[in-house]
Amino acid sequence: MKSEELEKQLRVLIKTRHSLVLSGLLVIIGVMLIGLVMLPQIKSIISLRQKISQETGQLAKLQQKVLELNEALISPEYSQVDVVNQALPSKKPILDLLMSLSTTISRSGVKLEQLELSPGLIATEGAEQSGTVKKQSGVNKDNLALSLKISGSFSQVEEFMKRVEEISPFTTITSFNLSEKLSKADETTDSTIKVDQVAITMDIQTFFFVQTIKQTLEKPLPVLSNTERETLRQLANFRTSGLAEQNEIMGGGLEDLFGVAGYGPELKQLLQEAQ
Amino acid sequence: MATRSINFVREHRRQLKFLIEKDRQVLKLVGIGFGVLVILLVASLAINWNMNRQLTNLVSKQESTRQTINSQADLELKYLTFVAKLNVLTGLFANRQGKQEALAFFRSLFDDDVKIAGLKYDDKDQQLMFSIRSKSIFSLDQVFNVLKSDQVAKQYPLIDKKGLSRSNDGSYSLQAIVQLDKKEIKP
Repeated sequence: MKSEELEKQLRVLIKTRHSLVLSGLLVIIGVMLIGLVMLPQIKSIISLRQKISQETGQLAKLQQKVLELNEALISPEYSQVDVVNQALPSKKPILDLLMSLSTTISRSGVKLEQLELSPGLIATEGAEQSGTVKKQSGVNKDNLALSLKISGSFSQVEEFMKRVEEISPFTTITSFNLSEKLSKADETTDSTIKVDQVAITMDIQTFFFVQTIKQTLEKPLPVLSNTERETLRQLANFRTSGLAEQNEIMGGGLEDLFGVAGYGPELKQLLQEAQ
Repeated sequence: MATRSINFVREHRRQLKFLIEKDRQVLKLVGIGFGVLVILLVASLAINWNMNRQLTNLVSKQESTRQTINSQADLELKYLTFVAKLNVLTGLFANRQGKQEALAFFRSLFDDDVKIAGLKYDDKDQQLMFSIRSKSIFSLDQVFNVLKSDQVAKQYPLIDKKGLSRSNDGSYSLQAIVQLDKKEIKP
């Protein structure tokens, strides 16, 4: 009875006040649309906006890096990359150092009396790449130490000391002891010592590069400072060893190593006949 | 006598008519609101779609740019090595600048009457020791004046003079120790 009554009242309501009922329905649908569709869309838009902002910044950094890379590779400073590589090579520059020293000694006119070198560990590029040679982390350079004793006039020795610090690979005198060199006649008499000749013992160090360079895709390229540009200018005056880099094995192919008669090609022929 | 009747239906109908009119106004307002809501919803869907498209384009451009950078990885490594080496060389130049300047400075201080008989340098101590020989006491006095002068004191405030001696030939020898890094002179 009650349900019939309710149903009857509902029918009357719908019939007489259908506009209100429709308004109610629209409000309910509107609220559902806001809750289920509109709000998630707004959240998504906010999140996308943040992400677009981040990615735009990231893209700008990458594009800037491409620009920097293109400019750096054609810059006048980078055109002197060979000068820098010769001044600070990536391997022990034993031959280059000896060659440069030899040239410096002959140009300055001093006389080399003694030379002592301890090359230490020498690794081929293959050994370095395979990781056999371990590089210390955080260390960017190593040095090759050399002791030598030279003699000559004071101006010649002075010239040598000046020139030796202007050669590639980069060499510096870490200690020296210069003293007058007495002639044999002067040592035996008490007469006035004429100081024309001096002898100098010195320790020098030649440096080479050992740092491992790490590349990061998004990291900007470093910018050269004015001090580094000044360094480049000074390096331009350095003298190189002139030693060409050997990239292939020269010589070899000898059949007769010992040059003993009868043991050269004749032996080879005999072996072939025996086979 | 005539009976009076009260027509309740007319009053009811009047009220109902008023309510229906009010309901229509409400429906009109709700309809407009619902319409605005639908328009906003369509707009938000369109904005969302557009932003997704922008993001996809951005990611695609980033990938393309990364590939460009990767293709030049070898050149980048060479450049980075170049800069790192230059940085090391700059430090090496700076380390020995003091010694070179000191040698040039003191070499230019003395005239021909004074000769440098000995010269010693050690990088670890940052000390330059030189022995000079002057032909006469007058030249030696000049040496002292030079070493005490403002020009020298300004550049090298720490100079220790010792070992003064006289040779049979009348010449005088003196040792001077110059501290290059402005620390105390080590004996």
